[in-house]
Amino acid sequence: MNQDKPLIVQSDGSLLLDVHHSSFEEARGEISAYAELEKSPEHLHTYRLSSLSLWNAASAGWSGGRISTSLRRWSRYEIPESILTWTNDILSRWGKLKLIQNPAPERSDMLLLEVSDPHISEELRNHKSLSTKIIPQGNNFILHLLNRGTVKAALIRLGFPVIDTAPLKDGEALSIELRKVCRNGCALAIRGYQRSAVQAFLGTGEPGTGFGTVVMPCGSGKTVVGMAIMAGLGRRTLILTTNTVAVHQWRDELLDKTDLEEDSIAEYTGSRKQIGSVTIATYQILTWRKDKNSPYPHFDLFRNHPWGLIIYDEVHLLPAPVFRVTAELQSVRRLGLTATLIREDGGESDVFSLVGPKRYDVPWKELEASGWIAEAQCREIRVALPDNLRLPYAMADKRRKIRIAAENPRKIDIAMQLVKNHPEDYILIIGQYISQLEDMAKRLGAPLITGKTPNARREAIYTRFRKGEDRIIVVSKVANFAIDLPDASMAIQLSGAFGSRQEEAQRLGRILRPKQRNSLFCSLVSRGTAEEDFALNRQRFLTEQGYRYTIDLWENE
Amino acid sequence: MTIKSWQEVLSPLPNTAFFNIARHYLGPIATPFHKPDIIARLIAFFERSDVLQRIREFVDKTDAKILTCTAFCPGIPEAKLKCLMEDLQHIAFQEALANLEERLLITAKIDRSKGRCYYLTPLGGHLQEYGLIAPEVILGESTGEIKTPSHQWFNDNFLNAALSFLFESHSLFRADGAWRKKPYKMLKERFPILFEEKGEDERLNLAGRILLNLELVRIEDGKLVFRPETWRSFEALEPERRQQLIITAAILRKGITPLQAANIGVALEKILPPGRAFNPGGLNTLIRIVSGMSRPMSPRIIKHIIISLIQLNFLTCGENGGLGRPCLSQTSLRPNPLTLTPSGDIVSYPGLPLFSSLAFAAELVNCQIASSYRLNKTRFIAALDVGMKTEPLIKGMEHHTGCALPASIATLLSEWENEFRAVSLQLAVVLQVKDRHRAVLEQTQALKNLSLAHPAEGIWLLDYRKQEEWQQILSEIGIIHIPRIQGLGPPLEAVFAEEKKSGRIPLPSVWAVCGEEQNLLNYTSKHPHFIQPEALLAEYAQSPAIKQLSESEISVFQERLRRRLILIPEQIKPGAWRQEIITARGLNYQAKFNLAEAAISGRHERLELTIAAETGVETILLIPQSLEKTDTGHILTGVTLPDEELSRYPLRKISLLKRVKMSLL
Repeated sequence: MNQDKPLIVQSDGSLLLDVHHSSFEEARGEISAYAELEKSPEHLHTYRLSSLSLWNAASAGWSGGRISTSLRRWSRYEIPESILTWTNDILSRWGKLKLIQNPAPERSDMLLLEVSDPHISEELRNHKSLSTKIIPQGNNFILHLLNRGTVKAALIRLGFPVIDTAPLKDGEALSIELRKVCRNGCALAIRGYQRSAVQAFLGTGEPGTGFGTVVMPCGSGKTVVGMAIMAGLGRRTLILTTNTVAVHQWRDELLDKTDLEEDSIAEYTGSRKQIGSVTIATYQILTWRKDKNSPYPHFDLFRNHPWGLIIYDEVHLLPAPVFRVTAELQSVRRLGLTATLIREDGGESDVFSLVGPKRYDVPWKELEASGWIAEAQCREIRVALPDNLRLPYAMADKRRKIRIAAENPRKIDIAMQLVKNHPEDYILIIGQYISQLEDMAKRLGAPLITGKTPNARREAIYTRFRKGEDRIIVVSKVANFAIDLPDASMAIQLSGAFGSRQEEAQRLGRILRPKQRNSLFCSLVSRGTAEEDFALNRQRFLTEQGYRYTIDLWENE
Repeated sequence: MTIKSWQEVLSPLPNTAFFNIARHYLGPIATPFHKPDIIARLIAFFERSDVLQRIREFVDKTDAKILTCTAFCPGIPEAKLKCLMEDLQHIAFQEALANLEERLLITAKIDRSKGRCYYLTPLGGHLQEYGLIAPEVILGESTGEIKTPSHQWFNDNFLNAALSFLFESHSLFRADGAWRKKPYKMLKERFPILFEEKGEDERLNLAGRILLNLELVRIEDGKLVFRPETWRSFEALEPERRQQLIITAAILRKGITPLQAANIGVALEKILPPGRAFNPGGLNTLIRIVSGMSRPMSPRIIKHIIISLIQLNFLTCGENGGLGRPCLSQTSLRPNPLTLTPSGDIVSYPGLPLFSSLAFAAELVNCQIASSYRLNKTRFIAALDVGMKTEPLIKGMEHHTGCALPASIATLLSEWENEFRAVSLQLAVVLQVKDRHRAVLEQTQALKNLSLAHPAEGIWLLDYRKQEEWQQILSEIGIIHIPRIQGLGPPLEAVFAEEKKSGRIPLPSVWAVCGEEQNLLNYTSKHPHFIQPEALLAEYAQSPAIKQLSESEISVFQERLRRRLILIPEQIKPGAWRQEIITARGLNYQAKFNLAEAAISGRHERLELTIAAETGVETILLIPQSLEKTDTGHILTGVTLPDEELSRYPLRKISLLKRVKMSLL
């Protein structure tokens, strides 16, 4: 009977799945083929039917009827009629537009957009922004290779998915194998979920596969997934990442876990402009230009080399210019890696349309339960403003209020106390404001890393930390992403960027590498200030992943 | 259920009818006779178990339906009874009615204005416990199953969401009553459940109507303002009762009285078995019956009722065009109907009862089958400000989530409450006393327990609710004239008055009537077991008495058996029945004449005429009035039924004339 079924299908397209139900695993396996996992807290996971998820399902052979049957199979209640109608409508658009190689040999730099429905053809012909990029040819259109991504993205925005069967460029071959034993002597075993992620990305190798985004928690080994995909494809690879330290981490990982030699790995950063079979660059150098009106000189790195794969590390941070150049690179295989595909600017859909759809996602708590990431406790510690700041806070404007609350000097005392209480832990103290961090570093006598810290100095500090010579680093938002400090077991967040859910999750991610002890994430919040509301919002992503916060009220003694 | 006693049934019968009955059941009656004795013997006869069993076995579907209508509408006039038996032709209806009367299952009483009105006899009444009188008899046989589980969207979960939204006090309507654009858009975003169906605003309008009819809200300055007092009373009701009221409020509209709506709401909620579909005609009849026959409902109104119930998801269309009540899945997806994350995100599922603390304290994100809320400081503090208490909120959340409140939420709520309590506003009377009185009051501290604060010497902020007490003290210290309170005289009194009044809130009109006794509700239906009387011929043929019957008596016997009047073989006795000529055929002119004459002289008798017409053979039911002699023969004059036209028929042209007995009276 339906009473026993584990799913609620809601009229806004959200699907609520009871985690504790005996059919949970089976239902999840089926539902995830056509709906995206949105939240995975303790009791109830939320999936969402979206145009993209349905089109992805369609590309994998799911019909509207099959999806309806599946929903009915698991749904406890009658499925809202509007959802079934909408699902069928969305799926009916699939296959109406196909992008193929232009059969005319004299225009091999062009692609052919086949349109099977004359009404859609008419609509596209009259669309203002598209009409500059597509040239009518009967019911169909031709477009320049360079416009492939832009046109696809625009068509998706219009509600028309494109089956892109134009072949991807193979790029230059690269001999790369994963080692069985890492250089550091440890055996390298690809974990089950990592293998699933690799398989989900590579797919069948048919047109329509070979690009997409893999979403996995911090510390769960996204780099390993990237390397396994590189090994699977065996093609020249461009890796883009957030900063030079991350570039070096990638290089070290490649050397440690693959058979690549040092000379085949090039670094393309502010200090070095090397290009090799595997090139690791920063987003920063790629988007550098002399002034606002100049072209981006380093974009040639994308265009002029026979890449067979581009990896976008921390793809959620992809800067707008890189989006634009990515739109030109639709014939190259593209892999996005991220732990938190949330953008406060709502740019997730651009990631999906230009880099590729979400191919794999795994709940954080599931990996925690399996021991693949560290078990973490989250604490919010509230401390009142000192008396001398209460009046200035009350009188300040909104922006100033936030700053006063963030820089509450009592947070420094609390952090000192926490450091004292946790003598065994390796601690990152992270904050938003440099003066506050300087003060903190000074009080602790700990090294400080900010955006201005030279890379060599940063590397040295990280190395000392990794070796256990230092157990505390005070660090600004430069450490939000892609910093791999395996032994860090505790993070103290002094302040952050407003209510950023992504920042909170990424900062927690710094201490999620599995280790012998549980991790502790402490976020310091000024009591009775706007920071409390920001903190509540910041924690939302993690609580949706099943994390629990405790709130401690610390009095000042 | 009103049942006439045997005395009331038998005593008013005319002698002819009475003795016909007596002879029929008891055999020849010897003279001299004592009528009360005969009545006692008849009662004893009808108490015999074999007699009762046969009576039950003879009850067919038409009988059961008429009996059920009569049971539920005691004293129902014939015309109204006919309205409820739409599927019966007029003649068949008349015959069935007369037959039930002669079988002593119903009895007629003449009312000057209403005509013949029907009641159950004790024999008819006893059928109830055997499931032959039951609402399902009216609904008819199930036309199929309703397999798709459904979800009645206007449930406690929806009411919680509605309350949460109403608490935000949005201005929804323009001066002309139309929706304001932005709030309407907001409603669409936050109540997807109201816009799931194709007819966009139907659910929205229905929801509004239910809330208004239940008097849970009122319209004020373009806003839907919730009424806390009725909401509290509604929350205190049992879920079943709330469901009845919701159905009642859904169908209440112009043309339906609150009592009718309430009767329909209560009856349908109790009677309709979930998961089975019925012929819409049966449901129509049921609605007519429960709405009371004193003010019959028009088909248009019944249609509106059914549409409203379909919109509510209380009724749905089953297979084969039937209508029925779906199997509602109101129980929660999980054992606990609420989940709460440590960041204050709440999801509530069907099965969560009314939980007004939650509705006040948490902001509605959206209302669907499961509703989402979010706790935030501003909202929580606003709830505290209208009197929400934290303790029941926490207890409720812990109860409905099945676990202790997340530590972070417990701390947050406590922090927010502290912030709220840090500032308070109280209505007080400023008392300023100078000179000697001031010294007395300061020294005696007589106002200590009656003042909210004593901010400065000679100034007290007095609790306005304790006016009598502090007035008393002031006069005791010698203030002869206590002046009027400046500025706030009458409004303050009004506040007092309102508070005193609010002790008892009158129930909204729908609530008050919904719950009056429904005689329909104590019945359980069983499937009737019916046997054809002819099937008994073989059994009766064994009776030795049958061999003693004359030829004409055998004919009467067979006729009486067809009319289900022969219950046991002992009734077969020579001389027990007088010959009755019921029919006369075409060529037998004299027989037709005699039959017509007898019918005219009889009381409440009808004639069924079969006449060859241009279009074929026509059957007419006639109240015979006279026989006129003409040159070509006799003309039968009478009023045709049911159209009641005066008509004339040459006797010779009648191919079959049949006497239709209408009543024993």
